[in-house]
Amino acid sequence: MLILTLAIRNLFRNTRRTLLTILLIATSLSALILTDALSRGMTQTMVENLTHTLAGEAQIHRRGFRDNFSTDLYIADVEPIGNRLSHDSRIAAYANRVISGGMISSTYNISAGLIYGVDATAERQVSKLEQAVTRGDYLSGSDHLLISDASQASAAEIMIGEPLADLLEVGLGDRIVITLAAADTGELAQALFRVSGIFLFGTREIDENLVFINLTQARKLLEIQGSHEIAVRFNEPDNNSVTSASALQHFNTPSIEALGWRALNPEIDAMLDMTGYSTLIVGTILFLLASLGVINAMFMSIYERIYEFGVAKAIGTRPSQLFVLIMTEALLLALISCLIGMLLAAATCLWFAETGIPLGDMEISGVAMSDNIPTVMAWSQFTSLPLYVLALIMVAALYPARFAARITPTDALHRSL
Amino acid sequence: MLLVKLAFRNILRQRRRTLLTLLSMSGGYALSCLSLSLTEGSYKNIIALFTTDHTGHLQVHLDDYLQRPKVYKGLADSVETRQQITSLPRVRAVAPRVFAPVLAYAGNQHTPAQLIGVDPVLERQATRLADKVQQGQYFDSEPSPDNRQPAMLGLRIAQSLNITVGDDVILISQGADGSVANDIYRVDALVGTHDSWDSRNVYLPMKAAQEFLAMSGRVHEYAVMLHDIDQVSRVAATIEQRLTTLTVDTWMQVEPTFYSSMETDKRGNRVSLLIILFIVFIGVLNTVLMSVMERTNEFGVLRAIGSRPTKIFQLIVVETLMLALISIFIGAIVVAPLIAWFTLQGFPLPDPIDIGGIKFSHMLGDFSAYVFVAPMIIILTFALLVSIPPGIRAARISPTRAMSNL
Repeated sequence: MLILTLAIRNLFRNTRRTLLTILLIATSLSALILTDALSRGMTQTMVENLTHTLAGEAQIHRRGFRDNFSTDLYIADVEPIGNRLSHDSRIAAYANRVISGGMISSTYNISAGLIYGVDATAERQVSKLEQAVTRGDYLSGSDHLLISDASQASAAEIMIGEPLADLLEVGLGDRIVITLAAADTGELAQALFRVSGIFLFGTREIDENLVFINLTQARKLLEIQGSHEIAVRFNEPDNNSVTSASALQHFNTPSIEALGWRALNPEIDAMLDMTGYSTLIVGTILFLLASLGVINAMFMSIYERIYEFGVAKAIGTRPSQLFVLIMTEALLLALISCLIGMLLAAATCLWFAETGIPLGDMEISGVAMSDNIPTVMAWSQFTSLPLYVLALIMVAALYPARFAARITPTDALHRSL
Repeated sequence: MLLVKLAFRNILRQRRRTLLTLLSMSGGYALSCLSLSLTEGSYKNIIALFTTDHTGHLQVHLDDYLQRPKVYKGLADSVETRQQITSLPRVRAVAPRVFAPVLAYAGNQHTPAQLIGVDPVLERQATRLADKVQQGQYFDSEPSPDNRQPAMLGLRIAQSLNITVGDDVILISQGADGSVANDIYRVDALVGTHDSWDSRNVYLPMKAAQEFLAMSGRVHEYAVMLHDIDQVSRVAATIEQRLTTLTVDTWMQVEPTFYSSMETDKRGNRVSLLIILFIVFIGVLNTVLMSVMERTNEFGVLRAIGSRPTKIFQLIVVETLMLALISIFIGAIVVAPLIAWFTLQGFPLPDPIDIGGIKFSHMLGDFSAYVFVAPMIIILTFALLVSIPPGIRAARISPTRAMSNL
């Protein structure tokens, strides 16, 4: 108890120095917490953009389809898969898709792209296609007959991205001809569409290259009954592809693969693995520099009191007691700093959780991040991070504490008199 | 001079403190240099890669072809026009190109592809296309018009169509006049890798491509290579003056998503470095303040024997700046070999990252004045700022009160 009282008194003998040291540790801690919160925010934004935009949280394909998007590699028998998916309570929704490369031409221009045949109703629950519509309407899902003869007036619905509409110089209601080859036979097929909706996801690759038509029409054009892709959304956000692994594992056969989003996006997977390290690196650097400052401050306070320590030693204080005293001072300093640092960090994080940090435009691995990045708070930021800091400060204090313990009374008294 | 000598002696009075302060400042400096060097070097490397791979340092188009590419937006190609560009001393090479989206067929397989018509000789001078040939032969000269024309395929196209060197490929597209374009070509070479930018491209010799697209004498683009990429904006302006009817875009405008992502990333890096340096300098402020407090008596005596407050203020500032300079010196000595190693060797990322459509696979350092000088200026500024409050404090010490403690 005496040591505690002594330590508190000692700390506030030079309030300015103590405050600056506290400021130093507190800023370091809050910078560390903020880094962690920001990297969590970026991860979350990225994962959300990735899984909620179009891809879904997991996908089922024929093996090999993802390599080249070859139209021949479709899942012929989708019904049993669909039944099993809809009976799994973990799965919120799934959507069948037909995908084929093809030429998209208007009266003015032509572009190569990917044609997605989607089920309008099912797609609502899986992707943001409906929310991405900026002009016109979402697909109705209606089964208009395909008009292969371009002279006929009525035509099927197609949704295209804003940049593509710009390139093809088309607006709502304008005609678009799609040319593709039927699966298996390779027969060329052409069909006339009218632009019924224009969308903007904000992701370049989707906006510039993809067009969406109704699933039934896509199947007719390609002359298939099955799907190329089944996109799956879970009830609980599948943040680490854990659910995907367990819920979809039994779909994997020699010819069919079911993969969670992390396996579908190896680049992002690798990047998420690295974000943990980046916080670690920032933390290490911050605290190497901060502990130098702490050691310095403690030495200064010891030097000022070297006479006192000499006297204390001379009247019989044991080195271990002095050691404990300095360590207690360090502990108090660290505790106060961590508390202030946490308050500072909490305030900043709460503020930015609402408004987000404006980082500027960025696109990583095809995922656009143009919005402000919100900070994401987690318990570990206020439990384990401050504990690490506490431990580090204590380690830093060992050096000055040892120095204080080893002061020889004669030297100390001699030096200060 | 006396001031510097005094300051130097003062620094050396408390060696342990000085050493610790030096350590934290030089650590901060070395870290800033290294981090700057790695971002600058890596981005420079990636920019050099994609500009020499396909984009060129700057591009010349007709009107808004870059934003809205249309087959008919071709510029009239002539040796004289190209001469206007190549005659500039800073220009290394010019390569004309035509582009069109096509459907490629072989057997009953088809796949969408990007057709690029290149001048075999000029393209070899400008970009690395010829070096990227994996199988077969680069078309070195314009082939005779009677035979079947050669084509080079990206690897993915070849895989999708299940064909290889020596096989035939049919291309279908729309000509500049609106007609249907189709023709058969002989695959002469396969280019690039499965994941490279060109994996979905089909290359034709310029004449064959112009004939295919019905745009004789016209091209869509001049890709211009410079000797020094840093001159790109200046050269772009000069070319724009010479060829007033055409639009000139630098690589920043050709790859806007990558450019803005890069700028964002660099800005983020600078902010975090500033925060780290800020924390370092809280510690430095503490040290300087302490050293002033310790010497209250001395300053009192100095004042009493007639030193001006400004002199005392200057002394504190010089001490701090000297500390900062020594730190920078130590930091530079430590970090220079490291940066040199990163510049020469670099290290590959375990998994490449796609930034704004450009693959990023290698971290490299940059050994330039910028990476050493920029952190130096920041550190000296911080040191100056941090020395002001203790300096004022020292200058204001009243002799009587200070000496009453003696």
